Amino acid sequence: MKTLSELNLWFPGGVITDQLCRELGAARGACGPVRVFALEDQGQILRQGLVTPDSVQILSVETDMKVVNFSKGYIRMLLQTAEPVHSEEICRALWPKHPLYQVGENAPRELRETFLPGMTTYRCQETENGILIEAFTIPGDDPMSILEHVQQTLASAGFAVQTLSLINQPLPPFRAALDEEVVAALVRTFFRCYGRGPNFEWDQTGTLLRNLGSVSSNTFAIGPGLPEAAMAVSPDKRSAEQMNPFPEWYIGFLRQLIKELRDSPSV
Amino acid sequence: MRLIKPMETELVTLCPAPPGHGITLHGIPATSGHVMKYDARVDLYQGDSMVFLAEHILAPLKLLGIEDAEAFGRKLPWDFARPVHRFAYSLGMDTGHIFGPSDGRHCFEIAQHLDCLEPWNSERFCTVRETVVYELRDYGRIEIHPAQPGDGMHYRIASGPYCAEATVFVTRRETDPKIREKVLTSRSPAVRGFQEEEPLWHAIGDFTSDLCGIGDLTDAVVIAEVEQQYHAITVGAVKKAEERGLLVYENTI
Repeated sequence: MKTLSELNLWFPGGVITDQLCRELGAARGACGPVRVFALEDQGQILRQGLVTPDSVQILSVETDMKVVNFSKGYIRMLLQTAEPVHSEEICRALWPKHPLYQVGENAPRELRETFLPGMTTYRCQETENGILIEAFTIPGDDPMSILEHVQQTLASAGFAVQTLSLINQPLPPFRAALDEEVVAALVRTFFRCYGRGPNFEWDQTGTLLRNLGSVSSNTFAIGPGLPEAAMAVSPDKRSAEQMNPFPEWYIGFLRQLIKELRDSPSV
Repeated sequence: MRLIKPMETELVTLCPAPPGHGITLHGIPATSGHVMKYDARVDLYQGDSMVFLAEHILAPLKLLGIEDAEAFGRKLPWDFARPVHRFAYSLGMDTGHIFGPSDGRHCFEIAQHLDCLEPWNSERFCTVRETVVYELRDYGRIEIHPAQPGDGMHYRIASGPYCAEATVFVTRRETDPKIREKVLTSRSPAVRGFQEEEPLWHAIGDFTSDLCGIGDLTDAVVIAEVEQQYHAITVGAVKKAEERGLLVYENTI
């Protein structure tokens, strides 16, 4: 069993205030059992070696109070076609399909939001060089099979594909392996605050956890908000913008979680 | 009915257990004290072990009147479109701890292996002392009314214009096999939404799981108006009845 030595809380830079730090029993950047950092500073903080493998990293983001310790993989492709096409047409052709579940664009929203997070999804946009296709992948996908799938799907939908090429080093899906004691502390906190255990869900856009998770396995994201804010498909930007990201009840939840983690024997 | 020999189906293995053992899922007792999550589904935990979608195995067991059994799920390929698969994967668990088929039905195959069962009707009786009402905004409302021994569980479950109504038995008498089949093969609201009657028939299985499997009820009249995540009100009502001493057992009513 690992000995967990410190707890770091990560907030978007714009919301870190002295009051928030005081309420969470920490001062920004101060050494101690609980530290508060800006998410935007993680590159610099990692370079300085301030995050240790034995620490717990909690990222405060819009996840609708779901615990997220898994990120989908990420692949970028560039598509060139003989005839000009709109990115929306490509996106529609690549929309995921499932033999049992309603996941189509016209399916009830709650069903789409239930199933799509676990499927390989695509985002498309027009660029000077062609259509940029971003694939958000799941365990079991491999880059070449994704490339082949995209090529075949577009060809069978009648698009005259000239070239389709990978333009980044594909990032595989990533899972931060939480210690039993961290999971137990999360369960206790949810029971105390809501009378039931937490929900675990996946990060759709596949970049948030990876940096910190590569250093400390006990890395997860949590936060209030709406699920579509984290969806790779059809985000509802207006409702995301209207949200108050960190209300008082959420700060209370974090305080309880810190207490539960501190009470864990090895944290 | 009771199990007289191990039963193997595509999805589960069932083993007989001695009288009084109750039902365990991968060794975790199906009781309210082991419920970790109850909203769109019911998950149980004990120590660092968990089982998911407990209602999809408890429903057929209770609808067959089985009171004692050890159940184990079988490992199947991942289908990450299912939230429960993502949940289990996030925690490093395998699919063997997830009960029920991918299409949203209960483990209906159990009712097709009657050669592993023998008739046995217990005389157990449990109802509520007085009407229990439990309501949660965005989850629904449930009323549980007292009933007499042998009345069974009578349900009237509605969602908007759709409704399912039936009586099932978890002890003393056998549930009409046609009703049992309809309940066990109906797909869940998570798969079908609430735009039709089918998921409400599935809900009768879920209610039986939660009220009679997680809870102890054998006889009651249940009236409910539900939203998609109705396990919050069924398990919530069981917890409320247990905490307030509102359950009455054989010969005490």
